[in-house]
Amino acid sequence: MIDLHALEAALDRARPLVLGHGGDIEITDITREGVVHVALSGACRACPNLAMTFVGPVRSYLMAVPGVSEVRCEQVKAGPRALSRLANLLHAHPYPVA
Amino acid sequence: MKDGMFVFDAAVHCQDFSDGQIKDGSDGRRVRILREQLTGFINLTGRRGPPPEPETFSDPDLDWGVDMLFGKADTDMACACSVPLFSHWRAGLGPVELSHALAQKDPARIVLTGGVDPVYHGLGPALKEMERQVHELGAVSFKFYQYQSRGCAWRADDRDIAYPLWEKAMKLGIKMVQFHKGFPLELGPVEAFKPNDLQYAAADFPELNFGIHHLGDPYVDETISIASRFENVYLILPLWFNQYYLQPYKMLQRLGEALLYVGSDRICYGSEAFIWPHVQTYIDTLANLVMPDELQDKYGYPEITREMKENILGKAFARGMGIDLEAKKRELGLV
Repeated sequence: MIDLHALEAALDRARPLVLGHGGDIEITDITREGVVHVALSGACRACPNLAMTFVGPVRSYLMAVPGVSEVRCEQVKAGPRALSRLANLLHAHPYPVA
Repeated sequence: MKDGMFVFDAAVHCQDFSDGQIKDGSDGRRVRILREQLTGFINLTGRRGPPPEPETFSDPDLDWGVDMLFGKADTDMACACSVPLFSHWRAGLGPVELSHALAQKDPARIVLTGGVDPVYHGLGPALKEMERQVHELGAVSFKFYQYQSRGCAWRADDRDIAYPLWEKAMKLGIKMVQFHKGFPLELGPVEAFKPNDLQYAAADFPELNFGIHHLGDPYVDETISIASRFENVYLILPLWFNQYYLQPYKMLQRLGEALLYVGSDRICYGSEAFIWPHVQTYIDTLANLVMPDELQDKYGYPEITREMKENILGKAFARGMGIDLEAKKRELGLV
């Protein structure tokens, strides 16, 4: 079970980073399995750096919340190999290759 | 259907390159140049496939065309796309009446994309012609070439020349207008086909979809950037396939960029038939396409999933055109 207050607090850590670049972030869905779906808006929507923003701060902060099993963002089109590589380079929360 | 995937070919042309298209008083040079260019292109890019059939890409036999699309290939639907280039062509390079004739050969499977030019013919006649093509010929989309000859060009964001076209299209129930971008034909200047003018148009007409053909080559980066920012911009792939056989890695990079920044739900298969009539080659290529590990690792491109292939082969274009694919499948007895 995800602590929604903790989840919101985690999101509040990431939000200033994207607000500072003209974007924003919201949680669009939380599944019973603990998968959190997020959507980025504003300037983030078509930003070439979207994958890095997602796999770096956004996913890492949210994955640290107890009960969160995965974080997904449909706007991120990069493949798992690329996201895994990014996560390694950023020392972010590890991203599964498959 | 290809392995259960609906195949909707967004770009089939009935073009006429014959000398009969040379206008009175013209030396015919432009007609001959384009004919030679396209023949050369086919010979160059088709060299990995079966021998080209140059006699079939000009004024094709329509029954033969239908057979190439639906009999000899897994195509389920196709869009007969007019080519409204008028300056040097008596009836336009791809006459709308010829495209209509093809559509009439199998109206359940072939939809018509008409074509007008608001500068060459004047805005008033172009608007009237749009009405005629919709009401009399059944056009469900329009294709635009924004350069006819020196001094005869226009932009999609021109409020006086272009916006009335988009307003008329919406009034006529059209969901998508399409554009030849990049890849200048015969002696036209390449910059006349930059995709940049679509940005304000797409922003000002969010209910209308804007299809860009050919990835705007050579303005591929601009095209992908624009499509990534405007959700009503679709990328239509004719010529990508033709070039793939010559330059597979380069084309995979282009597709990878489009998948990464735009997504498969706005990328559409188009064969450019009947320039290369063996369209099953393209369908098989796309159905079996794999993004090499090296490109995934070095450029961040995604693996090409079945869902992506399904989108590209048909779903994306159907959605952009406002066609209910499930209803169409039932109509065609495919489910």
